Amino acid sequence: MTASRSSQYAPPRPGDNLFGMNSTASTNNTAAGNTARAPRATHALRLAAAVLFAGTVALWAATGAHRGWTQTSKVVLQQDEITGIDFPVHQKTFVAGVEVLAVGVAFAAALVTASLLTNRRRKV
Amino acid sequence: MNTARITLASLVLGSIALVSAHAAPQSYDFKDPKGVNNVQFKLDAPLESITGTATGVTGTITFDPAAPAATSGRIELATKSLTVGNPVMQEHLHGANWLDVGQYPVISFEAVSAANVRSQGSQILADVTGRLTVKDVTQEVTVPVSFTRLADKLGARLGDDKIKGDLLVVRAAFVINRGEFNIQPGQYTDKVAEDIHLSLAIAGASPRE
Repeated sequence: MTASRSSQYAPPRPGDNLFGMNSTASTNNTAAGNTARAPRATHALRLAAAVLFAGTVALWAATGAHRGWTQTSKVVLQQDEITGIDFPVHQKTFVAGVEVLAVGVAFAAALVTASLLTNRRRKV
Repeated sequence: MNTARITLASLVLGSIALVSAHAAPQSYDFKDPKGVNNVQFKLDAPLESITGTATGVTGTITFDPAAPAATSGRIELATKSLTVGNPVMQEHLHGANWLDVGQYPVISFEAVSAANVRSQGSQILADVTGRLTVKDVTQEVTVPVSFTRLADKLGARLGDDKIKGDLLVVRAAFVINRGEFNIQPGQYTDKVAEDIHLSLAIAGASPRE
């Protein structure tokens, strides 16, 4: 078994890209091609997760870091000139709530998990 | 001499009539064509704070600035007019589990008596006791209320100087417990506070011929 495994193993040569990013190497070897695609997918998933996480947090913070549910309208108080009564005027708006934050973070976590699985498959 | 006496008597009688007319109880209609009359509510639970407004105010109040303790009347609020910022939350609020606006379309307050009446500038302050009915449950509550009578301001408010009449602005802020009115008593207290903070600002009109 040991002899068989060692016979399949080709030690890296000077100049070889150990992470499979060398396009020349990947076109010459099927296994190396798989390892090239896997890190790209891993990086893409992690990048997407980071962008999604940052975007969600930024959206939530930019719309007021509201700790309740998402609001699709807000109330602006105006004052009646004669009576002095403050009365509500409803305006359409979007205030991201905690569920938007939770969904965004959950999707980001799912993407990170998928990237880890992709990475593990590459190592196997 | 006689002419002077007659003139003096006329002036005195006229003044008395004028004072009586102003001191007489007036009935104010709180149906508001401008949609300004409103009630704001806030529930501050540990996990969630809910704020909203309602504008479906109607009713009448009889108010006499010379005898504010005799104030009486009834104010109604259409439950369908309660609004919150989140449409799903509003659907729940109007639904059968909470206010059930289909079966209980009105929240009402009927003033019974006023005590601790005092003046503060142009305002008259009083503690008004009345019957508050929510979801067919009636509780007696005492509410601190301020009355501001705006004489001859009805025309200005309606944008027509030919219309003569007075306005009565009523403001009140008080707290009720939703459990006492059979609104999911003891349930979901982490997200929906049991104490409901209410703030009311309404203006009624009393037109004159």
